[in-house]
Parts: sequence; C-alpha cells; structure tokens
Amino acid sequence: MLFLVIGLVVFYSLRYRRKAGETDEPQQFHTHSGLEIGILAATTGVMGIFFFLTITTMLAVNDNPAPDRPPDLVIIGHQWWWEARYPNSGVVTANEIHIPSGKRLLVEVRSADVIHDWWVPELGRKMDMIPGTANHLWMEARHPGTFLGTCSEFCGTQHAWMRIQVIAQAPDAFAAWERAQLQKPTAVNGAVAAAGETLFQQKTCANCHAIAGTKANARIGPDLTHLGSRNTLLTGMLENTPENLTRWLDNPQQIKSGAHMPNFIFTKAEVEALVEYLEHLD
Amino acid sequence: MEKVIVPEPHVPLPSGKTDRSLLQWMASVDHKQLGIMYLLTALLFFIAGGIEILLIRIQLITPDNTFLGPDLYNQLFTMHGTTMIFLVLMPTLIGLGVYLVPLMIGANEMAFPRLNAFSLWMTLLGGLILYFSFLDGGGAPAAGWFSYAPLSSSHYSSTKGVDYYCIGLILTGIGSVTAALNLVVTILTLRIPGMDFRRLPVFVWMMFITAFLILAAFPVLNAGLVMLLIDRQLNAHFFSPASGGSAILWQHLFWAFGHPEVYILALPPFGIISEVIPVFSRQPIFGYRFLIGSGIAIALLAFGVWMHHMFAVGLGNPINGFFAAGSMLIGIPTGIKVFNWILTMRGGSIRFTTAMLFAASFIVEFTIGGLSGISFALVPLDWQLTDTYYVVAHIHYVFLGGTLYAVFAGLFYWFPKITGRKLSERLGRIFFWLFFLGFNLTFMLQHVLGILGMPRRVYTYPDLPYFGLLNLLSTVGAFLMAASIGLFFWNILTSLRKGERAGDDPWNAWTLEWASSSPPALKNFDKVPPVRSLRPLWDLKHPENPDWKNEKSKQTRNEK
Ligand code: HEM
Ligand SMILES: [Cu+2]
Repeated sequence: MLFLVIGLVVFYSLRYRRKAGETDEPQQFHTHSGLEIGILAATTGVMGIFFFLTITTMLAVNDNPAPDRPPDLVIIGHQWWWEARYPNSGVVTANEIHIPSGKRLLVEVRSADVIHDWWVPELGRKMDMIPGTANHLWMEARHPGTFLGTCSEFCGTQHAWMRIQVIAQAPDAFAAWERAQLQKPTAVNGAVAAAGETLFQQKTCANCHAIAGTKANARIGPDLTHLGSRNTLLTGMLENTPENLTRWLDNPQQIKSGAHMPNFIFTKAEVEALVEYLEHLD
Repeated sequence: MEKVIVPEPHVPLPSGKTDRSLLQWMASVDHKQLGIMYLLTALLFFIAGGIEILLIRIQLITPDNTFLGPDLYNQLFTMHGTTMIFLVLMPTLIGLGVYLVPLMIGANEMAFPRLNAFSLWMTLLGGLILYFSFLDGGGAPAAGWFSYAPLSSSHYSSTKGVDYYCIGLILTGIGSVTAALNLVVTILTLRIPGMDFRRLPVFVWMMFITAFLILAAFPVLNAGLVMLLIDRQLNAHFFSPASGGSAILWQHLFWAFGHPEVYILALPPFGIISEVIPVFSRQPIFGYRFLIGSGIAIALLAFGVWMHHMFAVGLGNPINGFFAAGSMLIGIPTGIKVFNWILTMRGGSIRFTTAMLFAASFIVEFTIGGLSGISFALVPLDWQLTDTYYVVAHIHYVFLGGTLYAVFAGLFYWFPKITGRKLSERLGRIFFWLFFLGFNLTFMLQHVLGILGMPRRVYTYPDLPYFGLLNLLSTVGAFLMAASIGLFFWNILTSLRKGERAGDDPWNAWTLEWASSSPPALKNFDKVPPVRSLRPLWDLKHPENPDWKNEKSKQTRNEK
C-alpha cells in the first residue's frame, strides 16, 4: 500500500510536471464517481482483512485471561524495581526472575505505586501493571536462556533503569534454583561480615529490605536474601560486583538518583562490612 | 463582470490607525493581526520546544550518557511534547484558520472579534504559565505530556510542575474552545451570498469540522485537568486507587480528548493540502464531496477509537476488538483522502514550488504515519510496540510528516498574501530537501529502535546491539532538521524585507482570499467576484469554461 502511494506520487510528479514553455491550463478533470467508489471498496477491503487477522490473533493471545487457578508467578512493579513471588513454593526474589522453560505460565502482574508495564518481547505480550488491579497474561519461554525486557510505561525518574532479566531454565534446573532460594543463607563467617550483619539490622536497612533467617522482613525494597547469587544490581544497571555494591551503598543517589533509598553516610569500614556481608548471601 | 458587495461587519472594524505600534497590536481585534500573532506565539514556543528536543537528542547520542540527569531529562521531554501539541501545532492551525477563513468566505471579520483576541491571549497566557514552571524551584512538570495518574498525583510528583501543567493547559484549552466557537459561527453566518456549503473551500470545511471536534474534545480534557488539580491541591481521590479512586479513569478522560485531538491536528492540514495541490497541479480537487464526507466521517469516528491508546491496559478482548474495529474504520476515509490528493495531480501541469514539494511529500510521509498507526490498531502488534520508539516514530510521522509539512506548504503558499512578498524559492527548496532528509533520518530509524525493544521516555539506555548507532544517526537527523529550520527563519527574515513583490494573486489561484490585496487592507474586501462554484476566480479568469457551467451540465445530466 505504501509502495503504491509512493509510486503514484512519484510517477504523477514526473509525468505531469509542467514542461518548459507550457502556459495553458491543462484540460480540467472533475470527479469520477466510479473511481471514488472503487477506492472506497478497496480501502474497506484491506481494512476488513486487517480486522480479521487482528481478531484471530487476539483470541489466540487472550487479553487478560480470567484466572481459573492461582497464578504460577506474581510480579509486582515498584518504583524502580521488580518483585517476584512464586505462590506454589513461597519463594520471593527481586529483579532477576527465574522461570522453567517449555511451560506456559499464568502470570499475575500488579503494581505497588504507579503504573508500570511488563514487557519481555520474546516471552509474550506486554501488560500494564495498574495499582489497585491485578492483570494476567500468559508467558512462555520455549528454550532455556536469558531474556531481556524493560518497563515500558513511563513511571517516573528512573524509568530508564527498570530493566528486566528473565532467566529461563530447564525444569529440573529451575526446581533446584527454587529449592536453593528457600534455603536460608549460609551462616556468616568472619568478623567483617558479622559486623555487616549487625549494621544491617541497626542502620534501618531492615525497615525496607528482607533477608530470610534474620529479623529483616520488610517488602518496601528488594529482597536481599540471596543477593550474592544475582548477576546484576539495580535492575540491570550495574554488574553485581563488590566494587559496584560499595559505590551504591556509599551514595545511592549518585548511582541511581531518585531511587527510594536514603543515603546513610556510612564510613568506609561500615560499607566494607556491609558489602562483605551482602555479597556472601548466596 | 458584476460583483457582489461584501456586507459590513456587525461590529465596527477597529479604528484604522496606520501606525502598527506594539500597543496597537496588543489591543487589536483584527482577525489578520490576531492570526499573525497566533503564528508568532507558535513560533516562540516552537523555538523552545526545539531547543528542548535537541538537548534530549544530545543526551541520547551514546548509551549511558550523563549529559542530562534523569530529572531534567524527564522535564524536557514532558515540556517538549506538551509544547509542540498545545502551544505550537494548535495555535498554528487556529491562527491560519483565523487569518484565512474570513478571507476565503468573503467576510471582513470574524463573527466575534473581541472573543478572537481573548482566545489568543488565553493561549499565550497558558503557555507562559506553563513555562514559568522552569523558574519555580521544583522545576517543570515531568510526568509526560499525558501525565498519567497516579504518577501525576501529588504523592509521586511532589513538585509544583504538574500544577503548572494543569493551569496552563486549562487556560489554553479555554482559548481553543472560544476560538472554535468563533470559527463555527463565522462560517455559519458570514459567508458571502452564493457561497453555500457545496462551494466552501476544502480548508474552510476542514476548519469547520475541526471546530466541532474542539468543542467536543477540549471540555473533556479540561474537566480531567480540573479533577487532577483538585486531587493535587485539595486531596480528593479521583485518580488515587489507594483510597478508592481509579488509576485508569484519567486515561479514559485523557484519550477521549487525546484521540480527537490527533484529528484536530490533522484535518486542517488536510484542508491546506487540498488547497495547495490543486493550484499547483492546475486541476480542480478530485472528489470534493468524498473529501468533505470523509472529513466528517473521521470526525465522528474520532470519538470511537480512544481506547486504542490503552490496548496494554488489559481491558479484555471484547473492548479491544471494538476499538480496533473503530480504528480501522477510520483508516477508510483517511485512505480515500490520500487517493483523492494523488488523483488531483493526475493529468495536471504541476509546478514544483516549495509549497508543492511539501504538499506532495506530505502525501507520502503522512501515509507512512497512517500505516504505522494502523499497525497499532492491529491489537497484537500494539501489545508489542506500544510505548516504544515505534510510537515515537509514528506520532512524528503524523505530526511532522503530516501536520508540519502541511503547515510549511501553507506558509509558502499564503506568505505572499500575508506579507505581500514571496519567500525565496531557492532557499525554500534547500530548506525542503534538508528538512526531508533530516526528518526521515531521525524518525525512520526510530521504527527500528522500537522493534528492537527500546522503550520511549528513557533518559538513557544500555549498550545493546545497534542501539548506540541508531540513536546517533537519529540525533544527526535532528540537527539537520534544526539547521534547515534555521534556514527557513533566515528565509522569512530576508524575504520580509527584500522578497519579490507578490501582487494580489501570485499563484494564479482560485479561492476568494486571492481577490483581496496582498496584504489585505484592514477591510478585506469591498467587492468580490460572484461565487457560483467552488473556484470563483477560475470562473472569472475562464469565462469560456467556468466550473459552474460544468456543474450545471452534470446536474441536468443527472436529472435526465
Ligand atoms: C544500609 C541499609 C541498606 C542496605 C545495605 C541496602 C541495600 C540495598 C541493595 C543491595 C539494593 C540493590 C538490590 C538489587 O539490586 O536487587 C538496594 C535497593 C533498594 N533499596 Fe536498599 N538498602 C538499605 C536500606 C534501604 C532503606 C532504609 C530503604 C527504604 C527507605 C531502601 C530501599 C531500597 C529500594 C527502593 C531499592 C531499589 C532501588 C531501585 O532499584 O530503584 N533501602 N538496597
Ligand atoms: Cu516502571
């Protein structure tokens, strides 16, 4: 259709250019109603075909399927990170979301604050996450792998850094991951890490974050129970290395300005202790 | 040849002071001066919106750039969108309407000259209030030009930016509604005898339809803005789900305005194109009745498609299907128009002036925008592409490749009428090609970015394959466009002083505005040629083959 339009415009432009020396008015063509009706019929036909294709695909994808069973996965958008809950096993994690491959999952998406939008192009459609409402979608990874996505509804200051990583694993690998997530982190060893553990509880980190097996169980910020086992920090913004974690704890606002985590103005030793503690939570 | 006497306006014309001092401009109620002031208002904000987007494109030139922080970036893209829609395109089109409609229908004034001035000043005032937000400590609004709740609530946007947004847009909205009312009454009551609705120039028809769209759509927006303001200032709960409000009510209100708005910004350009193409092709417009009919169809359907902006909200298949059907239906009259313009060129003797270059490429660029629009009506595609750079590309093909191209065509076409001098064709042609190149470079590639998964409204992006390269090229295109616009301004400035004198009818055109002097005197006409067809000046120039004879013979043929 586009080529037809471009073709006609270019063709008529060249064909009917005013030729040098031509001054007379050309013969005047008035409307030709047969042609008009032809155009009407043709455009209507094209739209009819589009509409048919749309409806059949829509029915296959199924917008917001009514859940007839508990969802396999609940994903909650927060400014600016993702919380993932697995109702069947009770696992809670953040930002790096594991799923079994080859299985069609019923996913419930919600929001804790403003409207976000879940979008991992290779795993299915996008779906808004609306505060006060639960939406549902089907998600399937045909094969294991890491799939990238991003929040795709503008949600405030750090919308750009609300990226998604979904890690699809073969079903047994996924089951093993789930079992590992349910484990409490291994006991802290070393004085530095122990100091970190104490700081974590003292410095109000526990008011927002949860670490299984400790008193920290708040759900305002990301769950940190197995932080050491994740590849990235801050929804894909930084690689998960001790250096990067140090920079984050040193001054969160400098790394991800606007993020809802205060600057605690730690001493160097304190940061070191916290990093030592957190990076060994695996 | 006998002439028709133009009736005196009901309100006495403004005193014919010859010195056009600043005070005289500010106090003016003359539709021509007000039209020019509308265009200057648009120009002012066009420069502001342009600077904003250039800063944004610099920020996006490489992955992980730190030129602008997220706060400033979000303010800039919000202001860019709001400015371009409400403070550039709207005043430009209303301004052209206010300037040209009376001239085209053989009237000496608008129906309500003082209301006309009120509309202009409301628009300007609203814009200035919106821009004042930059001086407020909290900065400009940063929730996007459609300010989705609850992000725009006082809890998540705690600075005053969104309040400025509400108040500024309410004021410009009032200005738009009064201007629309004025246009409707003018067109209904001040047409010269003989000009019935079958002989109204297409541009006037399109302004007429647009005015009704404005009258129906802007009150919805203003109601929504007032509700948002009440939520923010008086702690009401219209849009806060936490206390029983609805997060998506705002979206319904906004898009019930927003989609008709798209056509408010598209129909007048359709009118411009339908004036420019025939004159430079030396052919009457093809399918006048179909053009008008499809314009009306578009206006009616425009109110039945708003939820196609909300296919990702999860409203369910029945609703999505309904609005997909509406959106596709609206493609039919639009497609008809495109083919009518093309067929107008057929058999013509086309003069490729700058105006015609813009008009002809409008057809192509607008079709690209229209087709990418249809790809959003295909709901499953929308489920992938909405809120990505594909949308950014789409809206810019519609608003730049469509509306702005038509505005440029119209400015080159009517500039001689407005100022008495022609714009330089040589500079105009360079401007066209530079703009054409820059525009397509910038936005064609953004389709690809969207398909590759780049979301819109991000202040930065990770270094994924091709993202950096495509964004870099896109920025280069934006600067090409900026350079071409600079050239255009230069063209205006030099032509104002030294341009070729135009005479009353430089293009050998056919509608009544060309029967006035250039620029028109304070009182537009004393007498105008009789209107017995769509092209009164053609009839005048070609007494041997006038259109009305043609129409009559067709009628008698039909009657037989
Ligand atoms: C010193 C105590 C704290 C420590 C050690 C800590 C540690 C962390 C870490 C490691 C992350 C990155 C998590 C990830 O990438 O998955 C993070 C993110 C976050 N934290 Fe904390 N946190 C502390 C205190 C707090 C407090 C008190 C709050 C709430 C006011 C909070 C709110 C958040 C939020 C909202 C994020 C997500 C930021 C984003 O990605 O936008 N944190 N924190
Ligand atoms: Cu988000």
